[in-house]
Amino acid sequence: MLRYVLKRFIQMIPLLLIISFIAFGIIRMAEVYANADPLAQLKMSPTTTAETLARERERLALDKPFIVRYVIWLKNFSTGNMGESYAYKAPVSTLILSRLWNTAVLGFATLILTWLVAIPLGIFLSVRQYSFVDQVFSSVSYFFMGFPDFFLAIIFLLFAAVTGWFPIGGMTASNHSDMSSFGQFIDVGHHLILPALTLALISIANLQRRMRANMLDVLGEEYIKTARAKGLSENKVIYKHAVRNAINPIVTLLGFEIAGLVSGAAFVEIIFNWPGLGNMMLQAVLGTDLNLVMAGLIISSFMLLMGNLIADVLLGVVDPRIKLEA
Amino acid sequence: MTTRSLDMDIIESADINRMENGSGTGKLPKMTSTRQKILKRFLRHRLAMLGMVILLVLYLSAFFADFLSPYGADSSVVNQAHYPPTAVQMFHKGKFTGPFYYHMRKRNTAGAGEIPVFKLFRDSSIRYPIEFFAKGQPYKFMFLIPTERHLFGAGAPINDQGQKMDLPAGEKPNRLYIWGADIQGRDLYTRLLFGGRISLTVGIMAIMISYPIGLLMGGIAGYFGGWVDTAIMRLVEAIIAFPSLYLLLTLSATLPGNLTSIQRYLAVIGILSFIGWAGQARIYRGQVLSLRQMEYVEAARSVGMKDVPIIIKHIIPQMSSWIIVSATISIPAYTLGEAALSFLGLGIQDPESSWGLMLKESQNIVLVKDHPWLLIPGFAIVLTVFGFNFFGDGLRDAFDAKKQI
Repeated sequence: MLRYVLKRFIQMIPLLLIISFIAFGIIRMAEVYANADPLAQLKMSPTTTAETLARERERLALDKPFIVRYVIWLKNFSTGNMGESYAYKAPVSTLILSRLWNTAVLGFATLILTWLVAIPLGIFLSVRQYSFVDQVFSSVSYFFMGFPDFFLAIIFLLFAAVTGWFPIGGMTASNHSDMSSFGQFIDVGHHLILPALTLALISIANLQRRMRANMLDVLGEEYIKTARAKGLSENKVIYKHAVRNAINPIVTLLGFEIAGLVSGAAFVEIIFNWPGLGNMMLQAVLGTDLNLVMAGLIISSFMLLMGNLIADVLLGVVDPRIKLEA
Repeated sequence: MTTRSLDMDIIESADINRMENGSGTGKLPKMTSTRQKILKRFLRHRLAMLGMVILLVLYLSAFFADFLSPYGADSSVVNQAHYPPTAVQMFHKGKFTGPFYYHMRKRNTAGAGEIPVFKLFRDSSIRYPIEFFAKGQPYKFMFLIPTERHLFGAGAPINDQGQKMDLPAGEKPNRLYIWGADIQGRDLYTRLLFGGRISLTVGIMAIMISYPIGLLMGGIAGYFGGWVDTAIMRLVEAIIAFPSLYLLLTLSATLPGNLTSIQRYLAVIGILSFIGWAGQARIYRGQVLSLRQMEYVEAARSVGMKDVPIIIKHIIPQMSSWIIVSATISIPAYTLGEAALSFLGLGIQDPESSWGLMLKESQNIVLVKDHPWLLIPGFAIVLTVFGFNFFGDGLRDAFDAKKQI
């Protein structure tokens, strides 16, 4: 297992190199075609001295050819020096870390909500196949699977604005710093509900369908018949024999969901003004904060790759038939 | 599976009856080609029919946008921002007069020295009759015939007696806003129809670029294998590894600010295709890998056919039904991509219209609370997505794409 993970990490390196090269190329294109000046934000700031400008120009090697710049950037990046965000006046690495944390909070809440609802729902519907409830839920989930996430987010936000039950976007109330730590926790939770619900509704629709389909597959197996034939109670048949087998392939989805949450949450973050990675990325693009854009692209891609890796490893863990070959 | 098994399981029920009854005295069951059977299966798919009707209505309304809409896409009235949907009346003082609407006047309800609060008041003494085939802004019907007739429009104001009248000084005639007005006093219905011309075509245009590229790259990678395969697939994996919205945002940063609206439209399509081709290439590579071992490919190679013609002439046609289905199903993703970009202010720009751009106004949720009709473009997007989903599902079932490959 460890060898497999290690091998996957090593395989990731060339891929990350290509990714960073493409990202760097796009940023360079932005500089050339859109006249995006990487130092624009710096120049606007009144406190910037000519010295800082020269230093940054030196660090980014702005007057050198593309390949040289890329190599210099790569050297800096791999040693953890991602440069500085001129708009936020902070090192990119700390900025991204704090934003990544916020995205993770949202993602984690979504994940828990999704799994808590979708798995029981899938089981419940599978034992009532083609019943009225089943058909209603199957249409409802078809609806949510196709529904655009950002429009759902707008509708939820409108709901918050009309009822006043939930805050209109953001992550914390304005008096957040005055609250007790428990109050702060509640405050963030209050802000979290609607964005997490938006994301969860769409994933619940997907996951519930898969769980239901898996359950139906398993319920048709011979060993379920055997279990019933030897007189086990229906509860035991379903929860002890069927669910355990049906949930195996679903667990691998967890990894993909982790990956999906990074990219999928971006739009919802923007609409709910949730200070996550996706929201930061939009601000960075709008403000031509190129260091931040570059780092955001690389980090988010890395998260996606990690999610895929977790999915594969989980598959090996839950299903002993699958051997992860190192 | 071969096509034969496909033919077997779709013998029409009518044919079965005839065979069983034997009433046709030795008459063979009517032969139907596979294509006819697919068409029949598709036509019987209820959801697909619904999807087709939705799409037909949407595309036709976009095509005839200038005829169906009373005003031009960018014609605005400054002091009629966020006018609500016009209440169309039929009876004036208990008498049937045909469709018309009353004059609305904006008035400040706050006292002197307070923050002004504007409210709309109805003036029942001024009416606007709604005319059909009314004269309006000149345009070219079906992009060919110059005309200035629109399906409907508002007539000149009339008074209680039904005579033409002049409005009080300083007032402009009210417009007919069947779905309300946006912040610039432009008719939402008109902008929606014109926006459809962009929002509904972006997906199809992007598919027409990204699919051939994805097909060719995937085909080459799968067919040749070796280092060509490795090189192409690494590139594909790298592009897929980017979270799509992040890549979309970054790519939009490369667009120069001085593009004309048509250039911008094409650039958005280009960006969407750049992101889209990789996923297709990966899927097709897998397909080609299995197809290239087929005997007919071997045969083509042995008679001296070149590699690229084999890919184009033998391998791609084999996947054609699959391609049609997956293209239809992936159109909504492109439509949503355009909506996302324009919504964030990075795609289509004013004064052009697109549904995502129109929704941009609803980023200010307090505005939407007071003017809920601003959400209508969102429902148009939803309708499009579902239209394509229904249609695509029907196509998939009709082609039985899963079974064939």
